[in-house]
Amino acid sequence: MSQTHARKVETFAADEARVDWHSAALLALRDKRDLQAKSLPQWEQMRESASRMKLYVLSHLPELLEQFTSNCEANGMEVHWARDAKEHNEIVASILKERGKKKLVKSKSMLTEEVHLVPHLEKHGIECIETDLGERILQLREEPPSHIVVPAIHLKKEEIGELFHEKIGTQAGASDPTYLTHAARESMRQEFLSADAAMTGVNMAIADEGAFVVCTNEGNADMGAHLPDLHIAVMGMEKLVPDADSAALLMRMLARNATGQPSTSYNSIFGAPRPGCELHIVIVDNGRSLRMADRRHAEIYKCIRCGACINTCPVYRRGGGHSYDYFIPGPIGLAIAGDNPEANSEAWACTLNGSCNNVCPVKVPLRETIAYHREQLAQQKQLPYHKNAYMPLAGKIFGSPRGLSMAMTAVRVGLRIMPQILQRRIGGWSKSRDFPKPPAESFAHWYRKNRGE
Amino acid sequence: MASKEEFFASLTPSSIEPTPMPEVAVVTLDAPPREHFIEVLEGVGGRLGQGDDLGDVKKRAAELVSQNLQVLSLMEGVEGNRDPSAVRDPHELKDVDYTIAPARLAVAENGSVWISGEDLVTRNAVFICEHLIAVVDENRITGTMSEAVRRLGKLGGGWGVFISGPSKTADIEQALVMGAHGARSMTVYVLRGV
Amino acid sequence: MKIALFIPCLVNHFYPEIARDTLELLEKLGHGVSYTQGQTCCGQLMTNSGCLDQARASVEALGKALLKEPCDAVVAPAASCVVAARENLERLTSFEDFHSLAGKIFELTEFLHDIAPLDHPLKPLRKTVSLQMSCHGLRQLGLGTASELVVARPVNKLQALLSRIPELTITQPSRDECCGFGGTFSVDERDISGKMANDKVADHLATGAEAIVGYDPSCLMSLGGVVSRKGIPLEVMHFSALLNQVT
Ligand code: SF4
Repeated sequence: MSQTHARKVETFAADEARVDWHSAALLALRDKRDLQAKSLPQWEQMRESASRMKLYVLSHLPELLEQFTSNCEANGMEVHWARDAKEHNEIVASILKERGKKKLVKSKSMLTEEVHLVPHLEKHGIECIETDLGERILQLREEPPSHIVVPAIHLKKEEIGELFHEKIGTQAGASDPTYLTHAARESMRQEFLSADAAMTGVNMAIADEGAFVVCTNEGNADMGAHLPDLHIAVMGMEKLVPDADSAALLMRMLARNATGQPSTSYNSIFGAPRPGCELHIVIVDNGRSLRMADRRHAEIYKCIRCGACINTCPVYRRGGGHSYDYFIPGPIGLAIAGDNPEANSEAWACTLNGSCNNVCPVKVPLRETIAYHREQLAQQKQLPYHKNAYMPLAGKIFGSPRGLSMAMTAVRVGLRIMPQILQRRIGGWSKSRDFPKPPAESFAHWYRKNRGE
Repeated sequence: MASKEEFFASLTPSSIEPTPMPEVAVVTLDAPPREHFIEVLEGVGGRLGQGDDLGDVKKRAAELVSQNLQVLSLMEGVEGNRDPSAVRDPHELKDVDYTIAPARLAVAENGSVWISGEDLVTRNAVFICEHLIAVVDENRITGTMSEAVRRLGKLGGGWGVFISGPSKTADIEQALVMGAHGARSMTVYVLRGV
Repeated sequence: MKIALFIPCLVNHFYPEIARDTLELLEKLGHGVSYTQGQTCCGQLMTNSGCLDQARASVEALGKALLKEPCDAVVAPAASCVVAARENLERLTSFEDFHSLAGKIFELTEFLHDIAPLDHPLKPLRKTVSLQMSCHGLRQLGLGTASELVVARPVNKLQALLSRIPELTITQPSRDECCGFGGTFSVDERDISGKMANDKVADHLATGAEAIVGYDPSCLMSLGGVVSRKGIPLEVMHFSALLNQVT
């Protein structure tokens, strides 16, 4: 059993100024998202269409996978199938090794985090370079991302300055973002030029075209993919969309919702390998179809990884991305993996406020899915925070009008006689809040006295 | 490793009720595309080229060449100082300062232009350069991404990219910096239609 | 209308004045109001933690108590309890009468705005209040349009009601973010919950209002806890107190 989420946030939460800084950075993204969404009067209809389109995809996966595959093959790409993480990693390693490749540049892919690809390839002696600036910073720090779109959002520029000074030789003490970014550009350019293979993720796989879209702001996916003679694109099977109209719909929403830009700088559409080069696609299940077999869990696969639910999440913003057990933080991470009994407090790292549902461009029922995980864990008696012990008791007390009245009266009387100084030392609630000043009598009592039965 | 058949055989049937494909609306915009495009282009860090005639692009190319910069022009009728037909491998372009490329479409709602691989000697020509100049006919500006994709026709079998402004990142403290890995600047010449 | 009051456990024992204000207000507005003894909890404490089985007895006892008096509508001055009562009566019980009961439970704001619209003349009140649009009421009951949504004409039912009070100045915090209460979340996740409550109070304070006014007593309890701990000069009140005062 891992530490509870409440324990894991303690260090981050202790530095209030940093929490405020972190929260403000993410709120700025939320605000930019709101502006962009509000610039399109049809926004809510677009969400509805996107959601229904994704439901169509998820309920027609085998057909669409067939169609996508045969079209990709007709377009000269090679398609591979991985039932799980192990198969995925073996496929990628063997493609690289068969061709004697030694150095892979990769753009950001949540899938490769999910299947732990990089350590696997390194074991095979293949060097892997993350090329997204944020991901690269974390690779150099040997630290996981704390957000799926802005992976280094938890770091201060001074910390990055120090890291770059040590790793890529920038001036000591320099922390100007422009200077640091351009230094990284120079250093990464050498990596791009010397790589002999490239990997990208896939944002949308267009079934009826046999083509896929890769969206970046930095241009790192394209810079990587268009230099060496081998490009491997990896995708979870839920990335399918039926046609180009659907891809266009998602392209219209993705960047607007993620960072408040009208588009990512690059929407690159790959429909064939470069002449004389190879393009491989690895399609991965890794538990997706199993989760989709449970209707109350299935809709998480509508997700297009925009990160907006994370930005708006008040718990994430104040607890940081490293407070979660699963590698994807925030609402979508909890909705995917909140049923894990090993990290059973995760599903409770949420107030069920529902802001995430409302920002989601494809209407993933995040709040309901997280609540469902709580039910599942309750069924398995895997509740965190001593709930296994006190919930049955609470159920008994609350189930009896007399019992409830007696218990509440006891609390009320207790709080009336306990000096405030002691109340403040109870902890939990009273760590930052006083208890209410309890009244002398309950409403039920007053009503009986004053209004009769 | 699984064969395709093994993979399909391992799929658990989805619990999601068969949902029909909804109508995905192809939204059009009311704003005049040219003005709208220019406004959004500047908003995403792009620049509008000075002049609206191919002659202006030629003049600019000549200017750059005269400054001893490496200019790769893929635009018919515009001369650079790098010979596109001599390019054998994208790595050779690592010292290119300016790439001038034709764009087949522009999209007003996000200030992007569509560049097709068919118009480039090699795909990386529009990424590896320090600066990118794209040239588009004003009659080829569409309102939205959905209209643009409709006009592109077939996507499979080739490659192309929508580029919206220069390469950028905000990964360090959310400070926007132009010039992450791709072009540091992006200029678009919008030519008056004939 | 003939109204049965649903007074959730927290209000009954810790905020009886909210129940009395609600009762008096509805009576002044000409409704026949009754209250039945034996009401328990909406089950939220348990169902919020996924413990559906443990909530059943409480929900059934509540249903039974509410069915004692026939009525046209059940009204409660607590948004999240209304959400839970409706949902739990539907999903945790199989008794028809409980299901139809679920359909006529209303939160006080929605009752006064949608079901029996408030059209009584109100006395003026010189005061500046900041609205606490708590999440369950906002996003589950639709008492307002959440800031995430793109809607041509946003609504705010609480504001609509209170703006009928002459001379009352109504403000709102800069964001409709969660106050951090979240039921047992407030204890389990004390650090984050406390920080959220502090931030929310600061946001209300920044409006320059004299009072925080809302429709969800549990959230108000959390904010009131911060106000008291820090000695902040803000009143924290349920909106029924305001309306009762001016009706
Ligand atoms: S669940 Fe929705 S809001 Fe969250 S990352 Fe996925 S698409 Fe974006």
